[in-house]
Amino acid sequence: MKKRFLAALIAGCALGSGTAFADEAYQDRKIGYTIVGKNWAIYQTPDGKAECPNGLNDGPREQFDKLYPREGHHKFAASQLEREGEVWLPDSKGDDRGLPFYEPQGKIGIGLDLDGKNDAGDFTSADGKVAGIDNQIYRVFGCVGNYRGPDGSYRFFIQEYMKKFNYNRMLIEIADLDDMVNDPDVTVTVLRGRDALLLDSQGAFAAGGTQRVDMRWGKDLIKSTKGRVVDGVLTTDPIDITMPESLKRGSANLLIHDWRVQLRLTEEGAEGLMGGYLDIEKLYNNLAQNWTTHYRSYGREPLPSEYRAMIRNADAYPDASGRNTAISSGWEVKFKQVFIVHPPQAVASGTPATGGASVPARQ
Amino acid sequence: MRNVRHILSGLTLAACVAAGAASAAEYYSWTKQQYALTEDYVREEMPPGFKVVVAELEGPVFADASGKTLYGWPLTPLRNGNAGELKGKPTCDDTHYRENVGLQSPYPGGLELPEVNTRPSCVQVWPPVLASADSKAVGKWTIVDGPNGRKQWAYDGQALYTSNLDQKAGDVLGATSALEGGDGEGALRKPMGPERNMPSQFKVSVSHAGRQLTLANNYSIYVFDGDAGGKFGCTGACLEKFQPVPAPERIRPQGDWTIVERSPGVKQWAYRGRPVYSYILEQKRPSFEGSDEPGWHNVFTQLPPQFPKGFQITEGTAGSMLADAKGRTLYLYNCNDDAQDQLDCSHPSQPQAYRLAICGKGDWQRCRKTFQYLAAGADEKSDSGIWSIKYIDASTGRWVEPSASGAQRVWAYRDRPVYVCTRDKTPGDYECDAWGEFSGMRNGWKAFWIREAFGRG
Repeated sequence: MKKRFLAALIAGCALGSGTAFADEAYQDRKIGYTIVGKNWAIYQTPDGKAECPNGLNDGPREQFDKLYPREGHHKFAASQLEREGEVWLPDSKGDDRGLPFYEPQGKIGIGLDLDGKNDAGDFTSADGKVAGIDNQIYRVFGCVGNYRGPDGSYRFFIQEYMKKFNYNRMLIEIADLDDMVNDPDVTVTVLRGRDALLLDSQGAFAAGGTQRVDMRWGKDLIKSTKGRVVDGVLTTDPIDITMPESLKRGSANLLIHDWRVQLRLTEEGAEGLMGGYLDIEKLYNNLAQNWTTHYRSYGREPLPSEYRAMIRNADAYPDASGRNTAISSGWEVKFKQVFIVHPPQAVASGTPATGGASVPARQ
Repeated sequence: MRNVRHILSGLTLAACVAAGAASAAEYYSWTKQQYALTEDYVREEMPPGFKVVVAELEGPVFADASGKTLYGWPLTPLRNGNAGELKGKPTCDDTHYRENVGLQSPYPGGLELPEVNTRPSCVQVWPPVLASADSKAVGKWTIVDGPNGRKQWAYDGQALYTSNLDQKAGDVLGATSALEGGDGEGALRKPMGPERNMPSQFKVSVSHAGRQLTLANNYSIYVFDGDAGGKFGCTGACLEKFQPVPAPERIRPQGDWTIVERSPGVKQWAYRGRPVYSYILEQKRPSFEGSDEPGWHNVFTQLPPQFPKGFQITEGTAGSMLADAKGRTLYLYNCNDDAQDQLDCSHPSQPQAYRLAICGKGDWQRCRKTFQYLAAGADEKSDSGIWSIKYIDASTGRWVEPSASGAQRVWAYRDRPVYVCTRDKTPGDYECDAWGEFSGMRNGWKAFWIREAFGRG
């Protein structure tokens, strides 16, 4: 099997991909990657008119001005505090007080087919090759400037904090890997790294860095699943994960049901799609905690209106009343190869556990 | 080498050498002797009637003759402009502001403030420290001209005030240096104190977890248990992780700071007798990351006030938090209004409209479904001045007498209620951290962090 791996490397070299550290990158039938790019999977046409014929949505400033015109006399509690209260306690069935919220139109979208079905609301890829794409969060974010490329505020800052903030340092380790081109049975583990990302002299992310595994705060984040590599593309089986997602201010997490990836692997990195069903309450709070009304104003993001759109478009994990609690989601992701350093077992078991561990109460 | 050993043995075995240790498991192992250590400061000449008081969390602060803490209001850049006072130019006056000014992006100014008809003026909340006609400037203490012709004391140019929240000598309830302010959080007042007696290479980072020593570039300072008995234990591979903090050749010892010689000609700072290091792998600065290495400890000039008995420290995916006996994460409420005089709104004596909007859309009963006051048991009591047990009326959010109808016996920190959040289901959860305007810093809740392992890196 190892020979097949080497053959793949040689083939990769012949095609021009870098292999300077390939022998080192693949060790003990494992290869590791760290996330360096992550964006909501937002399908965009050049002028946006096809998917957002009504234009982009209003944000907090615009909504405030419509509800409380400048020429009027308004009380702080009944205007600013009313708007902030709505952020933290949004009405699930409100009518947005007459404020419009535009969802993307059309059938074209980016993402993964999470349920193996092609339902009425599902998307089809732009080239028509993939149908049944489940990415209803696109209906929520698709016409919000914050999330659109190339310069949406959230889109910019999530990358910025990828560099400077290790809270979000997602690692993927592929084990039992005998062949990077075709291997029917690999084990994929999600972990959190503790270290800074490796940058080249131009400030771009580089392969070959080292990441120590966060075995203290991130112990509960470690999850494993099975996967397979077909024609150089890794596909994993769905598992539930908790994904740290912070833009510096809050340190909140997302709960993703049936998370999986579809990544084209090279010895330098991996690139492709990530998907799953996001728990709506966790997602909404994450956005509210991380990204204040001030920052949301940059990208005209009306958060309470989005909450109602999340409820409308939720498509999985119904509660006892039949109301869906999760929404299908997709991300475009990029990884760079890293050497993942696991702590010695003795050290790992000696550190306090996360998620409920505590020191004894003061006596 | 003999000289080095001599220096070390003489320093490390002295009494009261302990610097603070920061790992969560060590919080309750500190001794009374360690808690008694206080931050050193430069003794400077002061005008008659003023003194220095070492406060529990704030360290050395100035106080007037009655023991009331002195505060300043430094000019602070906010999102849409500046607020606060330039040095030598006090502006706090008797104006009763009726509208916000829109410094808190993205909302506009011109909105009528809550409880506008009873809203106090700046000088009612922050009485200026007035100078008498025969007062004379001394050192950094000067007399500046304030609004309405008043003569006011200033320290290092910053006009001085007391707080109407401070009731007894030693109270520092008006403001805390544990909150930075700025950005969208507001132009906060700061307790004013003397210059710290430490070399310029170092500074103190203040949080509710204590007064942590760092380098001027925010790298945390550490000490090593292995540096004892006349030997430097951190050598060889150890030095690949920990870097001795060098002492310049011609520098002199200062206060708690002395100089040890690692090897001939190589000098290193020592704090309270223990050589100090920085942690090369530190990601967040300052942090406690180096204290995860066996035998290594962060260093505090002054330990945090003792937590009430029964409280515990839990760990989540972002760090360590203070929790009650049931493991529920504790939360503190922050609030600063958006008027020109930037008044505090985090205390029960102040307008409750801000808090109620965020947790209940103005409905106190809805508010209680998410944020609940931390009940204090009948037999519980506080060992410190900063933690207290008080009685509150949940329907008004005001402190009340124990005999008042509906009074709840609750825990308070800095005379403000402590909360738990019903969204937290298991110990280590922090679902309500950063809940509110500007991620809980302007009008909302922050978890009581003991160790933020990642945030604001």
